[in-house]
Amino acid sequence: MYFDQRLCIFHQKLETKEQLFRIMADKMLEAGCVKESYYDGITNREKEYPTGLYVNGTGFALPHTDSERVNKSQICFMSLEEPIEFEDMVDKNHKIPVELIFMLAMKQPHEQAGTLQNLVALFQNKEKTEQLKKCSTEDEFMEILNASGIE
Amino acid sequence: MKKLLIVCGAGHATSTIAVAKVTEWLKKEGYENDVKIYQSKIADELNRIDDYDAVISTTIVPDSIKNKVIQGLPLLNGMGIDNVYAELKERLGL
Repeated sequence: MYFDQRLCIFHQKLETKEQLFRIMADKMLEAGCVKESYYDGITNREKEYPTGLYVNGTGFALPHTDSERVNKSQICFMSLEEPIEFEDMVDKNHKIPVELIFMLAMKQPHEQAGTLQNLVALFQNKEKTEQLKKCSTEDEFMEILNASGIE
Repeated sequence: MKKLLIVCGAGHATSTIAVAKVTEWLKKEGYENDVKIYQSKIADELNRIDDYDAVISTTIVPDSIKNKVIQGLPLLNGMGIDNVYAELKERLGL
């Protein structure tokens, strides 16, 4: 259900986090999953509570914001050609070069623990992480996720 | 019944994962009836952090409460997860 709109963007060459947030938030907006205010929510929250997560040699980010700015639960994925720096979610002084971004839109708090758990389990799987970096089509992307129990 | 608080920035994304991991562990160890888990956002809890027997955070916490909080990042990246459980066990007196 989190990926039923198949929102995924591959191998982007971007300069800033703001560009990245704009592209992903617009994708969510076009799909009707979030409200106009979602982008501001994402950028503000990232400043206060950053979402960079370093796992096994790969930088991930999980930008998200309040459920009031969301219409329908969804996750948008982006892979980057060149990493962009995010702050570590537990230490703002620690910068993480992020290559894979999963932007979360969650309608209900505390929902779908299983899917989110499977998602972080995927982050910990080196082989699948490499597949995510390489993949360039929706079908490939969905296949990697489905094989990890994520829909 | 011990009270365990699990917090993140928004109170619904990374803390949800942490709650799921800790719940699994409590069941595995046979402690599921000894601990009640509360999930919240850090900003809402700063003034009542002492109401809990233990606190796990997957986000940045102010220095003033740092020594009361177990850093929960291993629950997300899998690195050093046993240390989190060991510290939790000690703080909850299990």
